[in-house]
Amino acid sequence: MGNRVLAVFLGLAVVATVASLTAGCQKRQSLAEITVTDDAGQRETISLPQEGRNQAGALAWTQNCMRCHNLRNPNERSDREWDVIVHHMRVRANLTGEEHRLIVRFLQSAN
Amino acid sequence: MTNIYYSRAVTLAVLAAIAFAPLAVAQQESSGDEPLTRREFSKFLEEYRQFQADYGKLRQENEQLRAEVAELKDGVDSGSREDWKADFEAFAAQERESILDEVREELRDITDPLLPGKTNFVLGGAGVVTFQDRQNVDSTFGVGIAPTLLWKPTDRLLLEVEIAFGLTGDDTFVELDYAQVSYLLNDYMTITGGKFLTPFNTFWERWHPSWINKSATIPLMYERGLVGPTGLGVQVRGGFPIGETKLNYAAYYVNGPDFENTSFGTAGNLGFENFRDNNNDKSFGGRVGFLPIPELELGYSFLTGRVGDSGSRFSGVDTFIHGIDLSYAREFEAIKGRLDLRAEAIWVDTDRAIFTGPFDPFTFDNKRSGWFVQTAYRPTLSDFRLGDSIELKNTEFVLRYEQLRESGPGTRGADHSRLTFGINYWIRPNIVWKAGYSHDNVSGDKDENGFFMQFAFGL
Repeated sequence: MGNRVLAVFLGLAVVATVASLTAGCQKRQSLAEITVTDDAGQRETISLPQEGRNQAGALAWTQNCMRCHNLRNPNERSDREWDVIVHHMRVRANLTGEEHRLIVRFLQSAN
Repeated sequence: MTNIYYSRAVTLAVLAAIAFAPLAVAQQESSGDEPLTRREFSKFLEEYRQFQADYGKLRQENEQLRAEVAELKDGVDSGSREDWKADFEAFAAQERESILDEVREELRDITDPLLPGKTNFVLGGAGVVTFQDRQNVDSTFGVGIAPTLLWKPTDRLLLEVEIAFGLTGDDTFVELDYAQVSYLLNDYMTITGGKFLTPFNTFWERWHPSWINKSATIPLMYERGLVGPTGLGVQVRGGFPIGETKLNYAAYYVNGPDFENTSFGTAGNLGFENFRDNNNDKSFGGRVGFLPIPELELGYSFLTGRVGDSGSRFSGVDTFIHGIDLSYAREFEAIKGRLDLRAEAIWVDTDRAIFTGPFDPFTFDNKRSGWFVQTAYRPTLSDFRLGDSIELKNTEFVLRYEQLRESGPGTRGADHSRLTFGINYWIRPNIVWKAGYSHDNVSGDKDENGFFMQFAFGL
């Protein structure tokens, strides 16, 4: 079974990489804006910054957080809470210190 | 000072004008028909002398002021300019410090609540209510709630505790899911101690919370305990970029699993609730994850150690477990939605042992393995709506295929495969309704095909 499973994984990795690199040439809507839901259940579209450190923070936020779960509305938590939560996620998801700081800064600016 | 000088000069001119005015008036009057009396002349003379004295005095003051101005001017022109500058700078610095103190005070009111400290904590967690109706098993509801407390006393220190409350069989259970202390050593390394989620593959550590797990069931290989959810010990972990790619790692040293040898049904299995280790040899494990592109992560994990009870005839039994994992998530314009792909595999190789059976001793090649591939699609870019409240973009379709191969006496050696299809509806990013169907195929044993529904939320 081992060789078959390895072949499946390798195939999936190759397909995923090719798909991403191909789609990477297109405009990525997910980086221009994100739709989230607030506490009242209302959907809200957040325009992500397209330049500066907050642009890097938004990118780190979407790329790292969305790999495991839906993106949460920055308005859900206060500045202080995001500071603690992203610290927790830094440990859990092996974020670098720079990614940690960028994401905190972005969430605190967007809430 | 120049202003004072001019002011004095004007004053002198005015006084002089006033002083000579009576004489002019007297001359005018004397040129008139009325002769000036002696008394009037004496009065005018007295006033004239008074004015003359005042004039002399003012003139003297004026000269004195001129001298002072000249002296000051000389002082400014010469070395005293530095003293003036120093005095001015000292005064300006004092004023600036005073203003900064006020600003600092105002900023402190704003920033103090943001600093780590005794009040810097967050309450989070997850909850789940499940209903399942499987073939050959009575249908049942289940519930579990797990509050999580995060506390950040300093910028580098984080304490995390999660306690699970739930029901199992006829009993209520309260369990410490994890309790760990983490310290950030630098940007690329964190040290952690306590009871932590095992960084073996990624399911237990990242995806097991019900609001993150896209299916209402957990993969077979984890349900059957090929690798446990937690370890008790220490670990170092972190991540760092390598050009455009990224590498992350975790290495841990824990109590490790223990070896089941008392029951015919579970003989040879590993138990992962080994809070008081059953031997002096700790287990060592690790995981390396590589992200060639941000959306894709590939990982390799291992865990090895002695599992037999010390002092028993199983004391020399070791195990080696290793696994691979893959995760990929990305939104594609072409398919109007997000694709999420997750796959994991585990191989367990434990030393052969001889067990005491109900009739005769027995042994077997103690190897177990399992794998799953799960894909989920959510049309996040679709605008289709059904009525006012149901949106297609909140619906997610999940498909998982998995296999498990175990060795052991009786039916435990059977191959087990399962295909699960599910539909999720996301009420909010952290609240989901799940419904699904599992089709089982167990060679030589009863299948457990079944429906399930689940409501899950995460805080």
